[in-house]
Amino acid sequence: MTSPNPIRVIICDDHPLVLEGIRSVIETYDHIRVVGAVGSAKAALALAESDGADVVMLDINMPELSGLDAVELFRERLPRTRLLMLSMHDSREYISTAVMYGASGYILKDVSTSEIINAIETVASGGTYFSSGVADAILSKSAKPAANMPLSTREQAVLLLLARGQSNKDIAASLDISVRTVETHRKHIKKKLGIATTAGLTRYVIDHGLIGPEED
Amino acid sequence: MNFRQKILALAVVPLVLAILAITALVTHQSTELSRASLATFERSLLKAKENELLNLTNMAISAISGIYEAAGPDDEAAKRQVQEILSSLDYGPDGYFFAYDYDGVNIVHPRQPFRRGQNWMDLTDPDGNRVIYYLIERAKEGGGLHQYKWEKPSTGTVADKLSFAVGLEKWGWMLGTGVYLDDVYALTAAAEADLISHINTTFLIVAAITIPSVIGVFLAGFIITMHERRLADGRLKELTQRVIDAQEEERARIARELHDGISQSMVAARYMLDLALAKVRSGADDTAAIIERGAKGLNSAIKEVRRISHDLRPGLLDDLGLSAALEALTSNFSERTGIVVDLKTVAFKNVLLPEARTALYRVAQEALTNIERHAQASEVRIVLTSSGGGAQLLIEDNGRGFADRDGKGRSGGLGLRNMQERMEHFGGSLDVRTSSRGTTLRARLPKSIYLLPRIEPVPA
Repeated sequence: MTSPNPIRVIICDDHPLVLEGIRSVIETYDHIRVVGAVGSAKAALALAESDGADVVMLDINMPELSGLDAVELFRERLPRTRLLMLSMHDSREYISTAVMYGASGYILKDVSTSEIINAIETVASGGTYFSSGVADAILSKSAKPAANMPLSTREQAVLLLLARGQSNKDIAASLDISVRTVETHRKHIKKKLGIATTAGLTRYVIDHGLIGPEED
Repeated sequence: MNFRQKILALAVVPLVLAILAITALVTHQSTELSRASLATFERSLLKAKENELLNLTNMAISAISGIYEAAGPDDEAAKRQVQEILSSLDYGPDGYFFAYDYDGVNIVHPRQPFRRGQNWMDLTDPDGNRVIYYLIERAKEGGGLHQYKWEKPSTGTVADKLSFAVGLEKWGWMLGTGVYLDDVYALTAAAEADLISHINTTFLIVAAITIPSVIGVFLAGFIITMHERRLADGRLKELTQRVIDAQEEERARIARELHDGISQSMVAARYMLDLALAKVRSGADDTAAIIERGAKGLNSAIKEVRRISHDLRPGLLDDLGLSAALEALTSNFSERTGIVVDLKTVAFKNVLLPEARTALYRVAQEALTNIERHAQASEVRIVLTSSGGGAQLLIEDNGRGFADRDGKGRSGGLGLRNMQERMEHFGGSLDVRTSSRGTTLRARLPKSIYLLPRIEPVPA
């Protein structure tokens, strides 16, 4: 019955009913295997690190660690794992943030079962997938001014640590990531803010009142 | 004791204390002053009496001096002559001269003849004062005053008496005369009574001024308090009513949306499922289409819930921060109204206290609602900035403003007031400038609302 190389999926949602619903739908397909269905992003991260997964389906609104912030952590630690957002929200801001953080797909919870399967398959094979309503939302206003690009949660953390005078190595240790990842974040920050130097970044943080000159 | 009563007490208590202190001081000083003047009065009266006694004594001495100078120590005839002269010397009913020898034997006493020839050395007055002994002592010392109690001839009662005694050394006699002091004391007492009544009058006048004025202050304070409380109560009641009205309106709206939208979709979905169940039982083969229609009904219910929930509170604000929420708010606004919104936000997110974030979002929301309803603007500019001094949200439109339409401004006024209160709650401010060329709202929040995010390897 089982196919030789099933797609390994972790489902993550803090609503047990939804979790069970999706699980029972997916489990009717032979080529997809549910590795686990967990109620928090942290549990999903731990499970993916220990058991491995091809696709992690993440709900956005979860207590503690949100699905969006979890995307960044997955990208840092398990860059090969594909992430599929599963959400009630169809706001453009959620979708563009998810894409910016590194999600491969975004589907609304009210789509049909076949669309969910389709999304898992597409994402697992390296493509991107947006459910019909979502695609409309992105396409309607894609021309966004680059200067207004917000920082991601991780980029903001890196910037604040940088402004406190920490080196790439310190930051890597603080955030439990590699120095290379810090450098990537740093590059993105400089690009988004249009600032080339570390002194300029520090100045920017101080100017915005996020760190007092008296603070160390 | 509530706050108002405390304020009133704070105003009245010092007043009462001050008046009491002044009254006490004035009373005390006038009492002291009158005591002093009474004493002076008494002293001068006594001094006059003393002078009188000296004069009288000198007069008696000069009356007998002719005989006394000429006589020898044992001249019995001369002594008798002097005795007679002294007995006859008289001034008023209580004025007389007396004489005793140095042993205490009475020689002359015109008012009490029974004393003649007897020794009164050990005579004491009601106070235990050895009267004759001390008079003789004064005489031996060369003349002096002595005060004691003695029967007053005119009234027959014992009274204070001041006497002056001199010695006739040659004969070993003490000669003296005295005046009664009861009239002096009566005068002093009368003066004292007079002064006391004066002081009492003063006291009464002060009281008559003070008590009504304190009562006046009390009453005025009380009336003002009551009036203000009534006003405040009225305003509070009005506000409560408005809050309740708004809440009820909101509830009614949600109930209507739940009933008209979601409930209908769900009912339809259930009918479809019932129908599908019946078809499956009867073995019909067109169930799939019916179930599909049921699922469609459920989907529209889900969409409806999403919309209502988003309207009630944008999850964006919590998940993605103020900038993203403003982004969504303004793009929805533009799509709905056709008004162009130029939005500038900050690159940071979640650096404000959640309540402050909500407050700024509501300010923007309220401002956009006002613009949509009243301003007739074609362009809106919203700028969110963050600096060392705090956060600032600027909302500018090119509409017609609301300064000239006072009547209409009232309802908008509540919204503005509401925004202002939200800002002030965090120690911030809301600055509104409106003219016929547009309205500018500037909401400022202080640095204290910055929430510096904790940085952890896996953010909580």
